[in-house]
Amino acid sequence: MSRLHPGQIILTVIFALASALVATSSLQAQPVSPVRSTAETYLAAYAALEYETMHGLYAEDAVFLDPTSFDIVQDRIEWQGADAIITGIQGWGLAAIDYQIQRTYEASGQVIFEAVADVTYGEAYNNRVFRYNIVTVLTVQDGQITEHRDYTDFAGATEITEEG
Amino acid sequence: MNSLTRKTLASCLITLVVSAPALSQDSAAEIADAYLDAYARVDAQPMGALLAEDAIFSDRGSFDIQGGPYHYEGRDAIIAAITQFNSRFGLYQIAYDNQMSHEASGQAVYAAEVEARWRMADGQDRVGRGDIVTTIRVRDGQVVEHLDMPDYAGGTMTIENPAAD
Repeated sequence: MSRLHPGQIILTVIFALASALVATSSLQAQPVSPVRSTAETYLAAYAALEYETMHGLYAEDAVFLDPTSFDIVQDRIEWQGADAIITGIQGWGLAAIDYQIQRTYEASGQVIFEAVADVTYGEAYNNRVFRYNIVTVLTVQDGQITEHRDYTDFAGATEITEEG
Repeated sequence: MNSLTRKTLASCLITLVVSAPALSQDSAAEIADAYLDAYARVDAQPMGALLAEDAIFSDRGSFDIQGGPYHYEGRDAIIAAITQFNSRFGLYQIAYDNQMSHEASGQAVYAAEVEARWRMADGQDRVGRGDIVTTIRVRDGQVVEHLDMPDYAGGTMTIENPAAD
């Protein structure tokens, strides 16, 4: 392999930096669609349990449902309207949700999130933490969330202990 | 919802997780898997045998695309569409490489990378690849709902030689 002289090294570094800058710029230039923006804002509020923000993003007839819950809890997860949704979620006694998104994309007004969610239940449940695989589908119309649909791997969930 | 009911719901979710092994034996998952296997082979006969008469097939990702939406209500309508996709357009494979799949309450979900193949008149294949989430709902041993959510915008389409058998 022939050795580069200092001028070539400088040019190579400049070219590499310029290429990285162009690549970064093109990534930044990709516009975030209004649908995705609304969905991401909502999901961040949901994960942070910011109920006021969530309430403001729901359409009047918004639906929150998890079809994987229908046969396994007495009161299946299927609520309509912001008040009912917020009340229902508050009933879980959560302290935190950590959404680790594996894949996400947008299709026809929906944003799909495939994720691992570490859910911390509150003091009433000794702050136990459970890890769920989950698919969350958010439907957005006119800047509002009309449907929050979860598919949760309840049977495959594992409890996370401090020891890991 | 009163506080007792809320606590009951949270307790049920936690109890469910703790007792998960007892819930893993559910034939709904096998029925959903068998249906998806037939769908992946674009094989209308076994699909028809597994579909409920009033089943719904809805490609929720197709509402805004040209040619869409792909939404069919009733077993006969679904089988007619699948048969047409195969005989008229040459669709013969929708292979799922599952990245995540699970089932609860008769509701199966598959998050996958999918490869769809259409055989063209010149013997070549048109091949579409992309992400997809498919959900299959089973009731009383039959498939009552098939929802697709493909990433049409993020997928690729190429012309290739047919897949090796």
